[in-house]
Amino acid sequence: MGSGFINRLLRALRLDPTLYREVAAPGASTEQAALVLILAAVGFSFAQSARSLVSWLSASGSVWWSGITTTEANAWIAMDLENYRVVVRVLALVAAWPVWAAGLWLVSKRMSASRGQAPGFGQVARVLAFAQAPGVFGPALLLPTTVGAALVLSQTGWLQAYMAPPANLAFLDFLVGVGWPLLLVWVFLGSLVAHREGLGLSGGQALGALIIVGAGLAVLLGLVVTVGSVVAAAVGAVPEAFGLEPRVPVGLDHGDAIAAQVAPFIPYLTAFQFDFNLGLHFGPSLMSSLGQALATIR
Amino acid sequence: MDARLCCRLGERMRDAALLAHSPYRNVAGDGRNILETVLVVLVAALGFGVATFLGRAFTGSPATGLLAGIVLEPLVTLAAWLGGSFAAWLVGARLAPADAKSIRFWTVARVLAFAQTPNLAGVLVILPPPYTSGVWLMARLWLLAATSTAIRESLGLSGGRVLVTLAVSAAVYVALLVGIFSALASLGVGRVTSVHGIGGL
Repeated sequence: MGSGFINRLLRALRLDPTLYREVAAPGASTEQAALVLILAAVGFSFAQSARSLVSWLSASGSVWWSGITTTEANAWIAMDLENYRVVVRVLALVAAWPVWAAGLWLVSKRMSASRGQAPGFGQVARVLAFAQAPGVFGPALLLPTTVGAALVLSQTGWLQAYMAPPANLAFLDFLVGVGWPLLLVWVFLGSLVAHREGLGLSGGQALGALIIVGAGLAVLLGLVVTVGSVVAAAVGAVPEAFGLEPRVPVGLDHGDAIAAQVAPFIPYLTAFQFDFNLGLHFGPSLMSSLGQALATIR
Repeated sequence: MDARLCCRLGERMRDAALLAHSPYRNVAGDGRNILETVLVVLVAALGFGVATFLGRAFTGSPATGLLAGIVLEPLVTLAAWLGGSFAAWLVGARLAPADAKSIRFWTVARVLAFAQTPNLAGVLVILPPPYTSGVWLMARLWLLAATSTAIRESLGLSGGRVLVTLAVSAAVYVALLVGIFSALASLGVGRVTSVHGIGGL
C-alpha cells in the first residue's frame, strides 16, 4: 500500500518528506502525479468559483429570493458562466504544469550543478504535481451553497434552489476568506518541502527556485494573456468556438443586452489568472476593462 | 458469475482507477474471457449513463433518460472503447519494443477496458453548475491518465511513444463517442449527447 494512490495523496497532504523522495525516484508513476494534479486543479477551480459566487452574492445584497426575477436570471447567468470558467481554469492549470515544471527544472538543475546531482524533468514534474494536493479540498468552499441548494431542490429546481442557500452569507464569506488563503499557503509549503526533499535542494534554494520561476512565468503569462485578450476580444469568437451561445438576461434593455452578449467571453480571459502554486494573479480587472473597451469599439 | 469473480473484478477496477500498475499487468497477463472485459466497460459507462438518466428524469422525461443513459450510453461507450483500443493496438504495437510487437489486439483491449473505470465518476455530472463541467472534465482527464497507464503497461512503451499512442487512441475514442451520439440525436433519439458536451446537463 506504500505506493498506493490514496496513501500517497494523504502523505502529500501531510507534507511527508519521504513521499517526495519516493516520487522523485526514477520509474515512479507520472500518471499518479498527473491524477493528483487533475484533482487539485478541479478543486482549485471550484474554490475560485466559490470566491466568485460569494462576491456576486455579496454584491447583490441578498441570498434569499422567490420566484423567477431578472435578478435570478442574471444569477443563473453568473452560475452558468462559472460552469464554463471551471473548464477553462482546469485546462489552464493542467497546461501550466509542464511549464512550471520546465522552469523549475532549469533553475534547480543550475542550483544543484555544483553537487553534480541534476534532477530530471520527470522528477521535477512529479514532485510539483504532488505538492498541489491540498487543492482537493477546494470543493469544500463551494459546499455550503450546494448543500443549501439540495435542501430546497425538491420544491423548486436547481435555479431557484441554488441561488437561495440557507447558509448565512457571512458564513460563506468567512469560509472562502479563510479557506482560500489556507489552501494557497498549504500548497506553497508543500512546494517548498517537495523541492527541498525531492530535488535535493536546501530550503533557501527551494524558495529561490519558486520565486524565480514564479516571477518569470508572471511576465511570460502576462504577455500571453494580454495578446490573447486583444485577439479574443477583437474576434469575439471564443464562446462560439466552444459551441456556447451568449445568453441575454430577462428584462434588460438594449444596452444591457449588448453588454450581456459580450460578457460570456470575458471570463475566458480572466480565467487565466493563475492561482497556482505561488498564487499568481494576472490582472483580471485589466482584462475585463480591455474586453469591454474593445467590445464598445466593435 | 460468482461472488469471488465480482469481488476480484471490483478490486481490479478500483486499483485501475487509482492508477496502480499491478492490475494492468495482471490483466495483460491472465488472458481471461471477452465477456468479463465487456462487462467492465459496460459497468464503467453506467457512471455517465446514470447521470444522463437522472438528468432526464428530473426534467420530466425519464423514458428518454432510460434509453439514452442506461441503454445507449454503455453501448456507444463499448463501440468507442473498441475503436480506441484498435487504434492503440495499431499504433502502439508498431512503436513497441521487439518483444511486444506481436501483442494481440484483445490483450490491449482488455487492459484498456479496465482503464475505463474512471467513467464511473461521471455520475457526479448530475451535480448543479458550477460543479457540472468541472466533474465532467475531471472524469475525462482521469480516463486519459488511466489510459496512459494502461498503454504503458500493456505495450511496454515509455515517454513520447506513450503520448503518441494515447493521442491517437483518445482521438478515435472521442470521435466515435461524439459521432455516434450526434448521429443518434440527428435521428431523433432524444437529446442524448448532453452529458458529453461542455456544460453537462
